Amino acid sequence: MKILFLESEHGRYSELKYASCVARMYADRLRKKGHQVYEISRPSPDEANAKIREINPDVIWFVGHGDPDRATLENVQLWVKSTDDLWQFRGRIVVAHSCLTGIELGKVAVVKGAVAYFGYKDEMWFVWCDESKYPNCACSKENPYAVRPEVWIKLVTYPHYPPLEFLMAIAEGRDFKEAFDHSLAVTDKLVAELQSIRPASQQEASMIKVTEWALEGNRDDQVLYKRTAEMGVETQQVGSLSKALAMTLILSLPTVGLMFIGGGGNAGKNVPNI
Amino acid sequence: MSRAFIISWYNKIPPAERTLPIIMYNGKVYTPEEVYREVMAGTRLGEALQAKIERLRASHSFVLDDLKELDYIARKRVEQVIKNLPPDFSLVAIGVNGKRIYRPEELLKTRFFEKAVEKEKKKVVELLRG
Repeated sequence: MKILFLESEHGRYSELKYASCVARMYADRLRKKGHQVYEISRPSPDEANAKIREINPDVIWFVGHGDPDRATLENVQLWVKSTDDLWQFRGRIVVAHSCLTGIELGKVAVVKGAVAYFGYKDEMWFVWCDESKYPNCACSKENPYAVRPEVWIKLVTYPHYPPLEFLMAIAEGRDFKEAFDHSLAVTDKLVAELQSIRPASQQEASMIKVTEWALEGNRDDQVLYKRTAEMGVETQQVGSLSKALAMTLILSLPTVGLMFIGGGGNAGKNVPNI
Repeated sequence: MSRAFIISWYNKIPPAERTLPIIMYNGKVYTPEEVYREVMAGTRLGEALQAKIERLRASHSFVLDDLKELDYIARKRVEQVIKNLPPDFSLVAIGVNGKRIYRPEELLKTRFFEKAVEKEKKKVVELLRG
């Protein structure tokens, strides 16, 4: 597979490099598996578009600030300005490390010819240091919070794993549903790993907990649109019931309830019957 | 009621969860550590807390008031966690518009907070049920 990584680093601050440095690790792993991997560091929209035309990638991974119908790259430069023309994604698998584009942009991209689009239908959260004061936090064991280095590296990198695990699973030949479920399973594993840490301080305990919430919240908001044989769009997501409906179900079920299967997916979640 | 039950229940709770609120009684929230301490001391409060925990461990045991308390406890848990974050700690959400870097005190007004509350409701039930 030809895989293009658009590795923005600077958005409003240098927040985007937190995802890009994790992506670089995956890029190396993909290369070792024999894939043709291309990386553009700090791409402007023009540079990204030129590279897409030049190499014609099968997969595009990008990180940037997003909205339901827009996406940006380095320095918050608008790359996808609207859903009117999404030529960049036609015929390709897109993995968007970006907020909110899973609401509309991803769906329209598939309608207009993308093979599949992995994104988030809400804000995607992660841990960050104020880079003006602490420039070496991303993908590093260094941190200003007196968190143990081996714990900090997990807090600062784990929220970026799931979309890249989806990409990795696709590159290993799994189908979209399997790859999506794999990314969910990885998230659960990462949360369990964080929960198994014995915190060294109250602050460390709180930072671990907040990272768990970020991972779990991101997991619930990840979505995959894929093209079907009938040229339709199929959605895979972790669905969520309204609170009222969920409570009604929980109170009325005679046994432990299998809560939801979102879209065309099968990501069942057990919820205790309270 | 046996102390052995509370000892066994308490030992199953991960250390990081032992100082977060888990049960409410007479309008006040208590952590597993506080429950453990009261039960071991043989106080009336300990007895009441243990009785409530034993009741809530059963399936279909949450009545409406318990659900309201569950919501309150979950909020207190999230607030306590956020309060214990370093003041210059930040979370980022990468949307195009609006504020996207959140300091701890700002998290209290976000959807992140509300989502965390929902997660913690589930967590409290799991912990109560061991």
